[in-house]
Amino acid sequence: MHESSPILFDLCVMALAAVGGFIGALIGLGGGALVVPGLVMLLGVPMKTAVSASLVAVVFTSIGAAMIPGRDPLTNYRVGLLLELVAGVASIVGALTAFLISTIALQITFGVVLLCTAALSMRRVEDVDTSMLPSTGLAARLALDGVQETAAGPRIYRIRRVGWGLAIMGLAGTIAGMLGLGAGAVKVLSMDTCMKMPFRTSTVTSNFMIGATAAAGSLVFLRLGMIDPVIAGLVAIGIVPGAMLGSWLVSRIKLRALRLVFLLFVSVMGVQMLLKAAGVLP
Amino acid sequence: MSDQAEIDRLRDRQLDPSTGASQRLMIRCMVALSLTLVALGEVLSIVRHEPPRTEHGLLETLRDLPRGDALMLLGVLVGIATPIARAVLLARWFARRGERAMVIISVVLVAIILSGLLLRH
Repeated sequence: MHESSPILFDLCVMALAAVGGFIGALIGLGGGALVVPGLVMLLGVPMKTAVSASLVAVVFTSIGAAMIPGRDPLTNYRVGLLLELVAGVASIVGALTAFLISTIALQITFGVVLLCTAALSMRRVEDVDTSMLPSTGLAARLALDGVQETAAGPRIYRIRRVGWGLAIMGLAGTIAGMLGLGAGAVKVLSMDTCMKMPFRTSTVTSNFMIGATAAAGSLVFLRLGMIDPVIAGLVAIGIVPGAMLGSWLVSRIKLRALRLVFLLFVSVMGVQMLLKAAGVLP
Repeated sequence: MSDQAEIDRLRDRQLDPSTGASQRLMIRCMVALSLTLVALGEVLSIVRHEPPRTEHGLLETLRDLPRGDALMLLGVLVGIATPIARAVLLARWFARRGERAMVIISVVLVAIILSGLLLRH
């Protein structure tokens, strides 16, 4: 379609990104989970071009969400910046890996990771009260603890196991750079389950972080000539309004059933990517 | 330290509203500039019937400004620069507060992100 009808192709890329950004914001997976399979399987874009365009889209998803007021008191910038040191390096490593490995290996990894992150997104999360615990280690030295507004009033949360958090960020950053995903599900897992940060604070902080992680990987892709400016630019144009609409809607309606349907849909995309890698799908 | 005193101390460590507003304004301006450049590039590509590029080297493409796809790449670059500018703004905020460790972390993060540009194809 790219050669025969370039304008129609461009419109399809924008529409796909808008839908990907919208659904991604609703289910909390970011746009990349749908943009990459959509570009590859629906529009015939090469896998590596799709991954690099998607990573650019992740940058725009993050900064699009940052334009919404009221997020700053929820974001723990200290934790985000610290964890980003590892995630940023890992993203560069991931991008270089994507450049070096074969397309089939990339498709298999993408399919497996997509299935895992969809499963991660279905977990139920309950915040743990850490307010009575002492502030220790790196969390105390860098003053990483914070305060969360709850229905019962403000509550202090203590940051635990920073080392484990940093280690998991290595995995999240590699996934992001290699597959063009935000890897927000892994980042949130690291912060809420491992470091005991409240779930809402983890998601907002993760949103701040995915932009920096994706920027690190995107610059590698840019330097290696892997970013097609037309596809990446059009994905950016589409994903910003889609993600903003999804973010606006997600806080206003209860979406549990719809969310499960979309997560199932993402899982099907993951399976399709594996079938494509196996040569079963064209 | 009492709970209330610690809550006040931790709240004081959150990003203050004026820095938050400056950050949002900066992001809005950069996103608007980025998307405008991309849209302008797309229109130029269509109007001029520019042939698609097969190689996408960063400097080679930017040298072709004001070709449509070069303008689109510039727009993408502005978008990618936004999280970096955000980290710089946070470093400045930490510096004003005298939090040296956080300034160092922010600056190192900016250096890590930019290090990707040192690669050669």
